Amino acid sequence: MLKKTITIALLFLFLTPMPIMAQGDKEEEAAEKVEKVTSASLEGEAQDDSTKKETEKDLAAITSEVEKSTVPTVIKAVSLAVIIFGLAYAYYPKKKKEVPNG
Amino acid sequence: MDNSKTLEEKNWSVKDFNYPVPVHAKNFGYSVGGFTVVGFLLLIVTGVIMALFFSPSVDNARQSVLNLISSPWGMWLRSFHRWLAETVTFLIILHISRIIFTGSYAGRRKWNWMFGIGLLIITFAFFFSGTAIKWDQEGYEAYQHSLESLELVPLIGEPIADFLTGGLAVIRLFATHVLILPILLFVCLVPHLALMKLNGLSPIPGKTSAKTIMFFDHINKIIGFSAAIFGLVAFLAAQFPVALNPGPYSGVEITKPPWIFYPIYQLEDWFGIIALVIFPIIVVAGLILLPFIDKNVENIKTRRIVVWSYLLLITIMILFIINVAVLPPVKHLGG
Repeated sequence: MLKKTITIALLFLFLTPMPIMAQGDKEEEAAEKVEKVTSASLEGEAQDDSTKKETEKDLAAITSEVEKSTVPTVIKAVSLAVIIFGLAYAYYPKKKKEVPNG
Repeated sequence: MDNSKTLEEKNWSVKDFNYPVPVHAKNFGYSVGGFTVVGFLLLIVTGVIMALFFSPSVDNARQSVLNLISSPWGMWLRSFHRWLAETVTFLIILHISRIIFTGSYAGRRKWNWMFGIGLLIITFAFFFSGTAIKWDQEGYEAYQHSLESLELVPLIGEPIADFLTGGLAVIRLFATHVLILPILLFVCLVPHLALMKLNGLSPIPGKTSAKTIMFFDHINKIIGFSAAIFGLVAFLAAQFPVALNPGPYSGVEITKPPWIFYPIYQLEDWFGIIALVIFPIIVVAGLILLPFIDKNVENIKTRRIVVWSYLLLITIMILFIINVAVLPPVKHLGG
């Protein structure tokens, strides 16, 4: 059963509609124009240019916010792991034993 | 309950629902599902209040959130809603973990497990749509990822992506978040709870005890612990308010998704946008197959293999989360 499952999973991977390739670094590609998203821009209409200064300030603020999230996220991940391993310890499958009533 | 009477003859009272349940119902691990339901109720209450102040349009969504959080109560309310969303997701993962460790998915409980998988998918869909509708940089990038991944889904993907593209994007995501998903939640949660009542609380494998407590004692315990858990969440929301990014700007990719999506973000780094389609399908298929692979809860050997495989998967996911957390954001879109 396990072998069949793995074989089917691998088959699905090779039948995926696009080639599997590393997507991690696309900096070498031509940079897209950075512009504010509005209903007009989504409908493909021309829009007013937002000031370059404001855009740069906003992007810097977002980058700083993302950097600040590192430590809390690591703490959350580790605490999740500790609790799950704690539950595994508490409920680890053991051989049957009678619990006295009363 | 008096079973000799017909439905018409029965004079129902609240006490009829106070039936005996196994004594381990008061264990923390067996109460996590109850905490999750309380969390969902709080999410509905806070979400309804926030919806009264939200303007679901591309041009006004972020500004309306900004208006809400300009008041201290609004800031706390939004932070509480977001912290609740994280807590409920956290609790669902713990609930699934306990079910896997005790083999409670096996046998006649497998259909309850299936509704639980439905609830898991709905929870992640809630998290995604809630992230997107605020329409800041993080929300917009999440939305763009969903469009690109939907286009890879055969047959239904492209029409859905087309439907979500354009000036009505936010109102459609908002309708999904506040109408479609709550209805689906109700559709899965009611049978999930009804089947739990029908099948009874799953035993702790390896332990047999005839001791019982009354159902209302179990509920009282859940209410008490929930007050402690969600009181702490309310405190955290006040102490650590949730940020709202500027933007959104197209042509840049400088945020990361909410941390619970980091494992899939890591796989997207390696395999491209297709990972957002393939890997959730593999995980859900694995969860669906589990009760058919491990049919007998008393088979200690198989259950230990399941437990260790699950712990290995969790360890890998935690490592992915830590890796994504410490590394800068990566560009995935437009590949």
